[in-house]
Amino acid sequence: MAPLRRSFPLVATLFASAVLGSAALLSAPAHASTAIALSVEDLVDRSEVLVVGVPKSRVSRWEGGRIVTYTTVAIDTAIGGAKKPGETLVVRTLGGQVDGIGQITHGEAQLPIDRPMVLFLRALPAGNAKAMVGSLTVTGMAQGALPVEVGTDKVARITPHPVDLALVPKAGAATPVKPAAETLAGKALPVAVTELRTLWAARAKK
Amino acid sequence: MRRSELVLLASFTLGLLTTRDAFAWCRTTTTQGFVPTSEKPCDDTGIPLYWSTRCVGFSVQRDASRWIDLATTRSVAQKSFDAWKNSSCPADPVSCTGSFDQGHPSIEVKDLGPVSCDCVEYNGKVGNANTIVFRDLAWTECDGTPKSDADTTLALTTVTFNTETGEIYDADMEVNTANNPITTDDPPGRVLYDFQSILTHEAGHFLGLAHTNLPQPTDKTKTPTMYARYEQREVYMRDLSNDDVCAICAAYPPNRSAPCDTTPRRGLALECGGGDPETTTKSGCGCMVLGQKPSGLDAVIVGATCLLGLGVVARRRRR
Repeated sequence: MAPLRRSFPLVATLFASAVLGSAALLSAPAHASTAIALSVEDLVDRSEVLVVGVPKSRVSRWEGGRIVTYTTVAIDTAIGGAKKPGETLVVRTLGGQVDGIGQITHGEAQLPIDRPMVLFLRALPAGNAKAMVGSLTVTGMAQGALPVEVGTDKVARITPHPVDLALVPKAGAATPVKPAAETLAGKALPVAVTELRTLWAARAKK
Repeated sequence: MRRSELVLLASFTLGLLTTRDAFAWCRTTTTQGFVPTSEKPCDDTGIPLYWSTRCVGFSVQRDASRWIDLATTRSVAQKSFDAWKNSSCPADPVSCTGSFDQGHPSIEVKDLGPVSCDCVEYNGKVGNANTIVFRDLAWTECDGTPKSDADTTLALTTVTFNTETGEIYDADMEVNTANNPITTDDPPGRVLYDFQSILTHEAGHFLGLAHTNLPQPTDKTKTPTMYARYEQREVYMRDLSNDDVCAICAAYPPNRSAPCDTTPRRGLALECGGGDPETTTKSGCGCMVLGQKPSGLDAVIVGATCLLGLGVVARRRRR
């Protein structure tokens, strides 16, 4: 876990957010649409980049009739994919606010500024000429963006949070998939990172 | 522990539980970028979203779906919206207590007829439509741009609003029939992903509601429609729970004074308007057939565009 040792800023950010901003940072609207539940394995399999990152800035703009937001994320811990700690990446999400007009696409991932998150990311589908070149999208929309917080025990954990999507099991599945947010909720970040690295490695062997 | 302390503790615990139930439902707000947590699933920092009129229009994209025809779609959509309209409000919707006989919520969603536009868009300078559109062949934007997560998304609702007031300007729903077996059967027919359940849930979002914080009841048929889980092959989310009723009644109290005007913002657009508020008057035509029209230069531009440029927007029509 070299990145964790190196990542004192993350711990500091987490602790500061817990101490200073709990009222504002923990509050949230529940937005939702309808999606098929993805397991942790599903998210890993569908992603090209997997990181613990901290959203640092964002800009929203109109793309056709939609508002989209580009968020610059500082990578704290690289779990999978060709990214390194200290680098940044740009994540495109649907919705945002421009000149007094707001737009919510219910169920899209929310990336609050300065709030660390485990992010499952992948490239935008080919053919999106309007989107910013090189930007990534969150796999599974809100399912692929898991907030991290420091509890009273000062341990960074993946936050139990209601997934922003109305989830349904995949049609025809023999057993319902346990959504990733439920599987990972409450896990200490180092433990979760280790498990995700293991899954990432297993994916590479498939 | 002394008896008085026990009583105090019990009272405190009961109070917490009561408060949690009272605020189980949540409304969507103007806040950007917050993530719900189990500790605080409802945002209380932003302004709740709402429709300013008592009546709101919706329009089904005229091609509907090869799986669900236009007439069925319109019928199911109306039923879904009517479920919210026909609620009987309690005396206190915030605490969700009192007898549920205080009248209906002051919101009604009416079918304005089909439209051609299959885009999710908000037009800042020309007309709009609150559209229900199917993605039958592929989960793409209306211009063909592919979407992420095509195979895992059943439906998306996009709501456009004023960030200062929370007033909703536009709401569009997309239903992904390209990748999912969405059915309209009533039990005991073949029910897979139930269309009416999906639309009733999405209608809640259309009206400015977010997911409820209430845990799923043991009797799952009492699960709130705004609960964040669907169960395949079930239809119980077609019917609202008390929690849903309290939410809609708190958002739109029966005694609210508001005009009944179903006209979408800046008029009903039968065709796509091009979207981007900065360029809509140049890229498309929002031909208004109902309600107010934009004034001044906007009206001139729109009129000219409608007369001269129908072919421009026809490119956005489905064939």
